[in-house]
Amino acid sequence: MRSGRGWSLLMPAVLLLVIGFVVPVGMLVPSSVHRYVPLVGITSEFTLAYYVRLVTDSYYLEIVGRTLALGAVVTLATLVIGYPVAFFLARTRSRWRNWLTILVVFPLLLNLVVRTFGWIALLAQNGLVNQALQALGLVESPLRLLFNFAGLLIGLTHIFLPFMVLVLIGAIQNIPREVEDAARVLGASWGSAFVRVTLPLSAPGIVSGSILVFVLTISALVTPRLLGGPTYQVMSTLIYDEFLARLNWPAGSAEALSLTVMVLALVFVSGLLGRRAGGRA
Amino acid sequence: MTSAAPALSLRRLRKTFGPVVAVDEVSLDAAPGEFLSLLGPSGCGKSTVLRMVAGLVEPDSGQVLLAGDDITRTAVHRRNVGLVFQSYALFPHMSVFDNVAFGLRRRSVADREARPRVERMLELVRMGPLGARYPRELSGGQQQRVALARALVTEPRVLLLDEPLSNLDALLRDEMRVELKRLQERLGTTMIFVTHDQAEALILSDRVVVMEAGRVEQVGLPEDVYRRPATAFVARFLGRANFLDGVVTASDAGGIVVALREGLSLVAGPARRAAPGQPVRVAIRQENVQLRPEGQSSGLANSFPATVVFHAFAGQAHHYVIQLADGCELQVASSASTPPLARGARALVEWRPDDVIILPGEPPGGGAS
Repeated sequence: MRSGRGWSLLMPAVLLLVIGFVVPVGMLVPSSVHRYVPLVGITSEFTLAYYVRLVTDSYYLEIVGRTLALGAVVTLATLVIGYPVAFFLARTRSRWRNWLTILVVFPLLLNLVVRTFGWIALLAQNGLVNQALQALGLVESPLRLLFNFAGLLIGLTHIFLPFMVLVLIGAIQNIPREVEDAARVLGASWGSAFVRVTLPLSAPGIVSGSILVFVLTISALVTPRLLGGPTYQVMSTLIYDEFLARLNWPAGSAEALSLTVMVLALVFVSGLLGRRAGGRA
Repeated sequence: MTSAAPALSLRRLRKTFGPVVAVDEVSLDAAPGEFLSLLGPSGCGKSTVLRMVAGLVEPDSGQVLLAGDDITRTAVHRRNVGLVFQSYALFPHMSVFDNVAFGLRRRSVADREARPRVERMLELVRMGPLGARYPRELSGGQQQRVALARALVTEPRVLLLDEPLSNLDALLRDEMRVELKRLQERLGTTMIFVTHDQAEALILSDRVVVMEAGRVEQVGLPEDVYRRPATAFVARFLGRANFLDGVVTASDAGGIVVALREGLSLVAGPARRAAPGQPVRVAIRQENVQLRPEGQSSGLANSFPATVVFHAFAGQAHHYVIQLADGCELQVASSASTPPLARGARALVEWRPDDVIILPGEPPGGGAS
């Protein structure tokens, strides 16, 4: 194919990216460096204060740290829960396979708000989970599962698990079964063949699934807002409040830009790692 | 272990996939150091037999014995057999060296000992300098050699090869055949070779096992299965033959006479169990039919006037279709060095009685093919 035609195939996506992402993000830059004065509005005074406080003020630092930690733990949880499921679905010859795959995707068909309210009902002080734990005698007083890290972790893991599973299924299906057979015939037990052959060869899927879930988690708004309440903030809820509650657009812009830069940096680094892990495959 | 025990012995192996009988009561012995081919069309069960020996498929019934030990229920990774796949199945994330060393490391062979063994094996398959390469950087033939080295370095009790040459182009395939055979002679490893390519099986094997629909049709030396096929399937699968149906009219120690359904009679060499009156199917290989210009008979016992209805030059041979006086058509392949006969030419077809293959016949009126 001539390279000219290759580029023309990319044009619609490039246009969309420029109009829908590069330009708006670019417009955040000027608005993020002006001071906002309550009751007055955005002034023309130049300031980097909104960036500086993100990395110096302990309130904002905690929110940044919490957001990144949440992203990391949710990613790990979906990976640990999702890999066995994906492995089973990629390898099974059961005639139920298509139905089971649909079952994995099924939660996505349900409205996000409804699903999140479901978790509130389950995780509340006198919700089903606490009632069950107390009835079984596992805990004496109800666990706090809402408006904290645990609540967000549970809710977000559930919501993003299908994405991880779908990406992993594709990656695992790409590994020829004969390569695993070869390892076993050569003297590797099932577990050893898995660790030395299957797992490294599914690295590209692990990397892309993890990037996807991480990015979705740290930018999720609805679930953290509903399960975290008004006080347990993450970056996305903070940005939302700056723009719509406090009308502090400069602060919101600075925080949104910082989040975007963090995500881009992360995607770039994991891309490099992924190429090293799976590039030889 | 006694020296008399076969290197590999299959006893009444059977495997079904749902309603399909993939392997039906297959029994076989391979002597130590033997090169045994399983030959058959795709879907005849030959690969399933191989995978049962490797332990990747569990038989429904029957036994697999390796040098006298029953390994039917032994775990795959404890069998110490080698397996080379059609797709090579190299580990794409490991270097050539690590691929070959994989089996030794699983056996906890110390690096100090493993390194020279891997290097020696890579030398043997002429991949010595390429140990640091990755599989995707190799050609098909090179990948093939790595797969062989990887399977052989652990000194397996038997090496199983599942159509290892069929992904190579024709020229490379011829080259690898010779290399494989020389490797086997040098190492003395018992090899079980699965193929659908009859030429490959005949060239490489000490003995050939012809399979069809999950059953063994015939086991024998390459020359035996080619010259004396036991069934019509074997005759048709190995080489190109003309099939004619008839009835035995005379039989003695010197040979038999068969009256063909179409009216002609032909003479064949002595055949067992060919009593007069018995229906038989005769097969005559294309290359055993001699085509001569009219009036130049060489005095063979079977000599019939014929007309050339088709001629094509196929490089090594002239390919003809000729019609006998009774309307029956025969395929003939004659040496490329003979002067060709034009379409429509009158000719003589002749063949020696010993070249007539007598197969079990169908009762008169049965469908001929």
